[in-house]
Amino acid sequence: MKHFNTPAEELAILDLQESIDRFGSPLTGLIISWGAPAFDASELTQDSLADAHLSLATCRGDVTDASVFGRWLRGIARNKFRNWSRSRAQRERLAIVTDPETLDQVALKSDLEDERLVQLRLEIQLLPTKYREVVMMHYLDVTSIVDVAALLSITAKAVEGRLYQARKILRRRMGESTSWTNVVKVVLL
Amino acid sequence: MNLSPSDNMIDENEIRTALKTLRPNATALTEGVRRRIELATSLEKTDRSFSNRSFSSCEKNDSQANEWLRIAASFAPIHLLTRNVDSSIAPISFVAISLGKKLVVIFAFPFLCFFMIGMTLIGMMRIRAAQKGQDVGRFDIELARQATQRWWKHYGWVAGLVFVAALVAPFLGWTMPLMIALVCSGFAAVSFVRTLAKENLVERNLIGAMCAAALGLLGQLSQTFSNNSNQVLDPILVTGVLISGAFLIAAFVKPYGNRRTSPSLRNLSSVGFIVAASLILVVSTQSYWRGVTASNIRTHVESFDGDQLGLWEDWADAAKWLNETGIGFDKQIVQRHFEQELGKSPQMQAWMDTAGIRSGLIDDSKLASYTESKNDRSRLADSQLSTQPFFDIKSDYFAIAASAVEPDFDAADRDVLTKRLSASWSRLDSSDFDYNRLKNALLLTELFKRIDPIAQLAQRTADVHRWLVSHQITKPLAFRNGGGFSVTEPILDSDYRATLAAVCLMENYGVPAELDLPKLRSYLRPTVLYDFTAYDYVPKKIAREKLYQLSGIAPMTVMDYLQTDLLLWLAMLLVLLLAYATYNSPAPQSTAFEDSH
Repeated sequence: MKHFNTPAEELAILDLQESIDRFGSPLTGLIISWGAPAFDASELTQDSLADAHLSLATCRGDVTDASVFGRWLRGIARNKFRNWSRSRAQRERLAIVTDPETLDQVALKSDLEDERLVQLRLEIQLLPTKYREVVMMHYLDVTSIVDVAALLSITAKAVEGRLYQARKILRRRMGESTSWTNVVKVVLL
Repeated sequence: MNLSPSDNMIDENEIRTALKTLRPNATALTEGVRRRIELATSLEKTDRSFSNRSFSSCEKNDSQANEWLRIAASFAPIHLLTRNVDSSIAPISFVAISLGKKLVVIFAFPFLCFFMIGMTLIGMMRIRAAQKGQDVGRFDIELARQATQRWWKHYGWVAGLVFVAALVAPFLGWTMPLMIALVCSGFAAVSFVRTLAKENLVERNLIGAMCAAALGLLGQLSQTFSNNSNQVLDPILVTGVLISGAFLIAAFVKPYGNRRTSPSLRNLSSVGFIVAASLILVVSTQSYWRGVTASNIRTHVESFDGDQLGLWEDWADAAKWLNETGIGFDKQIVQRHFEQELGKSPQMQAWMDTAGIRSGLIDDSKLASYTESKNDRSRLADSQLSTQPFFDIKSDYFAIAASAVEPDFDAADRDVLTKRLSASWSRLDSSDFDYNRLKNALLLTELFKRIDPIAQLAQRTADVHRWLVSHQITKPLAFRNGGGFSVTEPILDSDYRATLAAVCLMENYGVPAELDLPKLRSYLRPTVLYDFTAYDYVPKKIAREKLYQLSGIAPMTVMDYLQTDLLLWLAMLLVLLLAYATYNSPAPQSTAFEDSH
């Protein structure tokens, strides 16, 4: 049985599951949006969450406040991602490394028959960063706007605004493909 | 998200479906986080210092005073001042310190750089001031000789002390005197020019000859330190900079062009000096434009001949690395060499099979077709022997690995083999079995993972960290580069193969905080003068590549290079200062030969 030294450490273990549930998926989405393949993003998320909980005592501010914890967690994840990127750059010098998007596409293509979904994923990757981040974080799993906002240190309204803009852009870019859906809708309704 | 549905926006469900395949598995995510926390907690218990590297939960083990010393050592080479290098004042990792202390490092290092550069500029200005108003028409060689003698009478003892210290230091394993010699040479140059200026005797040929000679001498001196220094870049660069600087200055002043030499001959000699300086620079930098590449390693692996190039167990490390990095090698060619070698030395079968399986030459499908594995299993996994360690893990490696892929390999067999491997592991702690301890620990680790994919390696971390620290050579040694790992504890000499095994262990168990990482990096640096044989440069190159990719170790930054290679930057500044002192001195008046033409 671990003996806790500080209330913060105790809190860390008590709230571990909650923070994984709330921030696990959006953080993975955020790291994917920075350019890591899905598998590596999941590993980096696990590292970041574990690191955050192990060093919770060093966090300045009220760690029970989601916005404080979220900002701090994002900082840890950013550092982990930077280290990962540097290691990747070193690996590239030794061997040809395929870019993350291609890896994900190759991994996913086998079980995805729908060309439109593949196209949509590509379009998401091509979104401007601030839109791509919120889309990946919010839609990767069922994540609330509040948790996305906490991780990005912006307001929930701003997240909603970005999502709105992102969906508009995606709709425009997927325009030709969606027209068929619209036709069906019109016919059925 | 309940944004009002709108025709000009894409459907949310469609986005979710598109991203569904990227979604992390919630259970795996939770388990992954918990496993990491448990691992870090258990490591914290067994090895309190590990957490500094694995997850940045900073322990405050070191006393405050030591931490400040280590911070100071991260930008100033104070750890070189003492012979008894102690890890408590080894440079501290930048990531392991608080924000305030990071700021100290950030601001202190540029200050040090500015100090070095500033001193050089001040030196230049003083030289410039001294040279003003010099009339070379009155230059008298006899007066110059007397002035030089007087200068040596006043300051010669300092120069003597520094040079004696610089000559003796490599025998004691010190590197600091070379740095002091470089700094003193800068001061000496300024002082010498000022002394001559007082007598109105500043002349380019005289100054240039002195500067070129001093740089040549320092260049030769720097070679004696090349094995001891803690530089990360090839130490021959310092020699290259100093010697090529000497040739460049010689090209300015043509010290050998006496007054009867024709101008065309003097120009020709200048071109010769410049060509020589360029050649020296090219040769001294060849580690970086013609260094060992992955392609060289592949060639080595594919053309390996056990008779001439060493042991197949060392070859396996190189082949394994090629497989891990995805570069690969031609297995058919190697298979041919392998079989030829087996034909010639059948007594080496067990060791060569171990090399074959570790390198990936013998894959699991071939291993499964190994017909003797049942007999081997009954021999190795006999429950009556469960407390007995394996006699020679290198010989039994193949048989153990082959047993583990047998279809009827059951939990009882796994249990006996695990117990025997644990007994072999425990035996490594004994001083009677410390020969090749790191290599054997690596083989055992690989076997633990082979027979039990979810092997709990964390419980062995404390042992590995203790062994790594005790095998690292941190004591300064005469004409030898420390920082690597020894084959056996009593031997105070680093070995590239043991160092490679140590780095592989760090891949599995993390980097102990007590390890002197800068020294290890320095040990693995490319050295053009010594990287002659594949037997040495192959394990060195692989260990270097693996070290730079270890998780938890930040890659080297420009700042790191500035800190570790202070000698090189000092050498460059000295060359700059002396070149300025020479170039800025008044040129000698035209010679009698020139006048007559």
